[in-house]
Amino acid sequence: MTSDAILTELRGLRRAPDSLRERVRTLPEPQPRFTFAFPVRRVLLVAAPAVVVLALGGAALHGVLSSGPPRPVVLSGVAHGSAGTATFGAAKAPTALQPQLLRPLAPSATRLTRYAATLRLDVTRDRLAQDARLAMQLARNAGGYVASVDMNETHAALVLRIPNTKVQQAVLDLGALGTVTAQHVRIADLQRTANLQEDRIAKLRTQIAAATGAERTRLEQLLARLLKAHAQTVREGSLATVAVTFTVPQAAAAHPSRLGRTAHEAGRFLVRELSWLLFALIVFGPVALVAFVAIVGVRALRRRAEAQLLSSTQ
Amino acid sequence: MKDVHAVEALPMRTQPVRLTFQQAAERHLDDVYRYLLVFTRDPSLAEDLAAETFERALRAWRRFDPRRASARTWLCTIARSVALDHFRAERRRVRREHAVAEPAGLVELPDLGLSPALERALASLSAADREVIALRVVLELEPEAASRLLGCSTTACTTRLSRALKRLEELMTDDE
Repeated sequence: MTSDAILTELRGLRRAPDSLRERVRTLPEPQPRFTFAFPVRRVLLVAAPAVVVLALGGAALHGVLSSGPPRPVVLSGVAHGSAGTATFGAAKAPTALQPQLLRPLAPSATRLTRYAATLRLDVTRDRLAQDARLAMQLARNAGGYVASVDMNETHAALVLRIPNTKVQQAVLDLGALGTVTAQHVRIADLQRTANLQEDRIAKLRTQIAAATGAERTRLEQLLARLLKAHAQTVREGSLATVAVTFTVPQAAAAHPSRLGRTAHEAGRFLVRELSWLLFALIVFGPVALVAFVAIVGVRALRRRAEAQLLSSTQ
Repeated sequence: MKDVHAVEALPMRTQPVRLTFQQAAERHLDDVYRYLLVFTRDPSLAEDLAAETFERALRAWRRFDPRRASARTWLCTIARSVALDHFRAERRRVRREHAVAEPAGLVELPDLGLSPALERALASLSAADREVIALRVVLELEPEAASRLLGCSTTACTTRLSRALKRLEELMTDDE
């Protein structure tokens, strides 16, 4: 038999018997039912650009809304103390409005205290040198001195030693020289240390009066060291350390244009959106990949089993 | 031998339209039956499986989408699933029987309405070979539709058909 004859004979295979035709004809016509077929491809085609537009639009809107004039910032301070120490501080970014200088805590009038204050001020470039000179003058007028100066075209850092009795007013006067951007005061009690030193000195003096020879010499040396330490404590408790830093702010960075701020804020928002997307990809990506591999694997196994079944079936 | 290109050069089918279930059943009943007949080589079994195919198709008719496949291909896919279920059940049954008794002797071949030589040759082929012959030769399905139904590539489907036809021809030549 030729190949053509085989194909012709196969194509002329018998038709379905009437009994089967009757069985199929008895099957009822399915009732039409409203079914909503979700158009996945069309929705994706619309949704993908819509999501991109939403992301960009959201970023632009956020940029416009966040690019208004800088909000006035009022310096706020927190004071707390414990076991003989107290701090008082405030720090904010430079603002367009003149912030208030918080009245610094006053040192104790009855006890020796270690008083340290830090001030950071914004000044204009043409006033930098003059303000630094005024600060030094202010320290000297208060009976103190200038411990160190570090200065260049945009920056001047001074360390002033001012008597505790006048430091509160001095800090206020220094604050008036520019725009305060940071303020910090730290107070530590030294009276207990001084009292202990004085008790020890009194005991030593008693011991020295009763001692002789080498022992007396050793105690006298010890007394000399103790007296020096006590004098140091008293000096530290009577002179406050005030560190003042004058800075010339970068005009462009401090006051960018409205358009620049809008672009900056929009960019930040976009970066945040991208980070969310990346987070979602990192979290759900492996799960989706495992699910995909599982589906493909199950399908391949099923097809392989079917192929084995059919090839072994006669 | 006529090569498989003759089968591939079949005329393209017209654009599928949405039929009623009864229209689809009436139009494609012979195709489903003949596919199952070649696949199973048993007229009464093919009749039962075809009936089950249409019962399943009736239940799934609302899910049929003529844009994704023609009614004939869709019905053949259901028929294949029904036939595979039958082959699996049959294999389990044979295994159980082999476990308790000796296998039966030669079973008389049912009459398919073909020449004895062709029926013997078909009986010697595997179900996988008969299936691809049924789809591509008897039903004259396009290579794309047949490959989608078989779950393989068009090239693999064509290769499988070529080998099946060659084996069929060899078996018939040996028989002569």
